[in-house]
Amino acid sequence: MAAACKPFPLDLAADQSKLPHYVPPPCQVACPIGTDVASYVGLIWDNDKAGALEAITATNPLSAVCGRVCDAPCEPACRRTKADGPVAIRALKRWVLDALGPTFKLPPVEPTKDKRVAIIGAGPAGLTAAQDIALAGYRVDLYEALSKPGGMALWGIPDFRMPSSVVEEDVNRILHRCPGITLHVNAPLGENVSLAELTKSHDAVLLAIGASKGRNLGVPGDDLDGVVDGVSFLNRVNGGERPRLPAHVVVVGGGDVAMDACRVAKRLPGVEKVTVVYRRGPTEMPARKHELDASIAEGIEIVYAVVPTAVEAMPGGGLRLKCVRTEAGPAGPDGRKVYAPVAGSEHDIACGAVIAAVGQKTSSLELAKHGMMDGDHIATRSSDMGTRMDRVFAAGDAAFGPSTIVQAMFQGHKAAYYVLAALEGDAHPVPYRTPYSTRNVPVAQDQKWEILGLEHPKFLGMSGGTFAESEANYDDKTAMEQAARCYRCDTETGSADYSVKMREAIFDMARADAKPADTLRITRERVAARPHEPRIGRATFDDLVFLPANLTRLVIDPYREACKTKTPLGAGLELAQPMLVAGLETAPEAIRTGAASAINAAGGAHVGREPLAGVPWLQVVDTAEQGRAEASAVLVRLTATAPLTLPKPAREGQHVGIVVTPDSVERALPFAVQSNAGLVILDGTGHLGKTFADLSGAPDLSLLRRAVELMRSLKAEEKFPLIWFGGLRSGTDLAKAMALGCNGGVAEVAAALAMGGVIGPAGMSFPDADAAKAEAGLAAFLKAAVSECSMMARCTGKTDVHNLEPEDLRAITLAAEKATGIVVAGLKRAG
Amino acid sequence: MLRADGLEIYISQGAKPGLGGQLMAKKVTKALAAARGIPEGIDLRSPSRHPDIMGADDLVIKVEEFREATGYKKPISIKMGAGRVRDDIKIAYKDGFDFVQLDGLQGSTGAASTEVLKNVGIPTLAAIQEALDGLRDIGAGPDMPIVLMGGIKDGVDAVKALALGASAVAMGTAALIAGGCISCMQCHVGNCVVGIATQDPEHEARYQIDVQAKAMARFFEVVRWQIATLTKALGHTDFRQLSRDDLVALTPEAAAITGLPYDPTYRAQSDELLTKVA
Repeated sequence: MAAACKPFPLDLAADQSKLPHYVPPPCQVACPIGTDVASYVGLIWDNDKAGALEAITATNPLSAVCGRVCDAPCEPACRRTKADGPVAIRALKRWVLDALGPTFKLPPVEPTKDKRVAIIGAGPAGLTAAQDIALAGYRVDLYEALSKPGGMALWGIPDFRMPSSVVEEDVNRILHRCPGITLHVNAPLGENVSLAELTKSHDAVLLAIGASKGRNLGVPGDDLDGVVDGVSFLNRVNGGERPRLPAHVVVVGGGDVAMDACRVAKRLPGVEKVTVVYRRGPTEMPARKHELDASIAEGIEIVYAVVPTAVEAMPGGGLRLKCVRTEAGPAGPDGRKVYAPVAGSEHDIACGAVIAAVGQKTSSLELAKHGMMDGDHIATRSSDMGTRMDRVFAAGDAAFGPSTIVQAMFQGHKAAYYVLAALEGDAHPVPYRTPYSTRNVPVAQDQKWEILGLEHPKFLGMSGGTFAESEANYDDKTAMEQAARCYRCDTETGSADYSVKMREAIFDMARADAKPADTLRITRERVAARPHEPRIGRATFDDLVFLPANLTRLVIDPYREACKTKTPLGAGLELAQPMLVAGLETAPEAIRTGAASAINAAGGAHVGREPLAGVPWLQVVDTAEQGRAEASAVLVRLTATAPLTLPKPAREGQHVGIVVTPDSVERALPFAVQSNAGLVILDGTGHLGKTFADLSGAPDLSLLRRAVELMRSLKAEEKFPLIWFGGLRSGTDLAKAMALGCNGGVAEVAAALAMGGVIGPAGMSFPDADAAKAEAGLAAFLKAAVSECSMMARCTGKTDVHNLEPEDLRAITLAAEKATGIVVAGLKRAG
Repeated sequence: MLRADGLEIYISQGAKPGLGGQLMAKKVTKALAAARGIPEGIDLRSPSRHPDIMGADDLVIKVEEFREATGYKKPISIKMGAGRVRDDIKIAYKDGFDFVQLDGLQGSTGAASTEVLKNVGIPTLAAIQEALDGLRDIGAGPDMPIVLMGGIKDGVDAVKALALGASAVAMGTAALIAGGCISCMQCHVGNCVVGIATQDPEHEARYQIDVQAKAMARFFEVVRWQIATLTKALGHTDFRQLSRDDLVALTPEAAAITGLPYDPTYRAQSDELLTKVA
């Protein structure tokens, strides 16, 4: 499947969900690569790890990495954040990848095309682009300056946050899947490979060299011994070194590198105290709160609103970090407050080493030589990821400055898209858009989803060893519970009146940052909206509504007046309620046993070809067939061509009647009147007597109208009870059939489903037939059906379900008006 | 009563006309029990109808009672779900209500039986049509203002309702959604995650009243803007000038319900108009 397609279909502007009202949930929109979060969380809840893995890895080549260290912009976007904390999206991803990731491999996709692409830098951006381009069939030469691929994911993140084996797992998966990628390690740009040569030997070049040079502190003395930049420091330790450091280490900075650096320092031999010095306040800190909390938990001192002004060497060893306090001023252009130094607050911090984690930059003499650089990054157009050289593209930190892994992957996808467009001679590709797909995972929410709280994975700190992982994985139970917390914004429909799109529009209208242009857009979309295509096919019971009593009639209060449901269908058939059951001929014995008890307890009856021990039975026979003595009534199916005869009673007092179909009603009903039939079943499906006739499709409701009109024209109203068969799913459907003129109805597929039946290509089956469960299921269904039926009757002001009348109904579709003769509500129309 | 600006006699609501209320024991907290004068921790069952209103005659006496009690100063309205609107509204008119709040099938709630929610009551569109027809039958056209509700979601819906003849519109669910409801439709459970439909103090504490009040205010401001803009785009200077002439029906059903011309391909220059006006 994957072999045939590009990373994404070219029509990226189109919504890929194929659902008319699909609005991606906020977590998916917040994810730069559009991860189908809601689906994978839903699949985790359903204990479908493999499905969840597919959903995670579909757009994310570094899934295992992201499970550990993604900065998870999805989590603050989660709608539950404001209530009791977000869904633990990242930690849940880790749970899936820990379980299945190491063995997960997709079948290799061999290169099929001749063109070659050179990618410089095997970090998140380079790897992502390499996979996309290789999957499209092109060959990729992937050049990595260092000895192992992974980029900052490998070299910049310490082992206690992510063991290097996790990066290897993702990288190996990419390389296994894409044999078209040739990896060249120890091949830094400008030394082993030159840009000039690559542009000749390859059809396109993508620069994803990262921003791996740490910035200096930028104050006097920042070149002293004992002052290092954060990135170099992390690279050394990740390379396996465990240098001995002085007792007190100061880290300057407030980003994720600072957090990693301080925690690494704390773990190194000789270190007793680590202090982080940050020039602004905690709310301005760019580091993830998760990382900050971990640092604090590991005993690191964080000093806010202090900025270093110089580093001095102390006589006799050690350093003196000269500092000044700062004070918050008004918000700057980026929305963060500007902190200005406070005069007279100068002070010193004595320490042994200073780690400057104050930013990174890209430096490449080779690129500078070609005039490709713009300050400390590669001059790159965000519109098409192109650079100043033709067919040379750039992505990742090198192109747009230091960012996150998931942002780098987004740029990798985007760059690959434009590289592919260039390779295929498409000069004006549709602008790249993150694809939002959904796997339409059904919602079957945990009962406790509203009360389950956010539980973070257990923080281990250094308890398992200095460089052992500092965060535990979820156990299975916790993972399921955490997944259960998801609101499933992807599937929510609320009600027929509030589509997700409408709800999102209302949210948008209420947003604090909504601008007039947004309001105009929303209004325009609403004005331009058109109704759904009308449903094709027959009118159904759903097209009818009941008229509630208000002033002209009084509703019946169930706490004061009962609504009667007794249903007399003739002597010996004095049923307690009007919902009969059919379709049990072929059911397993356990189901038949359970059904018999439930029907008896409910005071109902059974309709079918075979008896059900001890239950009033309405036997259905074909013309030539003989009725049986144990049947309460024998009804012959009269099809369009069958001869008009009543069955002979098998004993004295047995009721005889007919089953009328839409094809036979005009012939058979007058015959029933003439021959004094005792009972008539109106079979809207035309197939009663065959196994699960309900499955043949929506019943023909016009049969009801035609039958009632015929009876009236023959002046034979209420001469015999009419029982409806076809499409009854609930007591409400039954109430509608009764309002249209029936005395009772027969449930078939709905009853089977209540007893654990499953609809498959071969019809209804009962995989785990269990008498007790079937009995409980059918009993509950019948109880609910009778209660719904009487609820409808009470709402219309009736104290007996048999008093429901056509005047209690209105149609809401013209198809229903035509079929049933019930008028559409609203304007009074002639005729 | 005297503290209110107006009185409403609630007969039923669009989401569940004909049903009373049932508050699960779990939701009947101390405060709630005190307010309703019942013991704590038992199911609170509200009747489906007023025990002292057995018909139109009782109702007229009730209205008179309320008028006396409020010194003939407060408007008194009746709220009902849409059923036999054509006839019900005549009674409401003759019983002397000041206005009617009419609530159609599309009214939402997370606290009613799905069967009643979807199967009882006529659509809001039909309700306003029948109400106006009923009033016209007895020559009472403009005397009885109608506040239409039930699935009014924004200013666009509001303008359509006003053009059909409603004097005003009301919103429930849309306003709640604007105020942070996630429409999970689980109100009856009592564990509302955002803290709206719950009596659990911990869950209640999650609801940031000041934040959400502002969100609702912004939503209503957009609704107002939409009503004003569309009214102007339709060439009027006051929403009261909106009329049926401003509408077409896009489905055969809408045409049958309202008697408006059926024109499914209609594409107004409204987009252009909207842009110009905005």
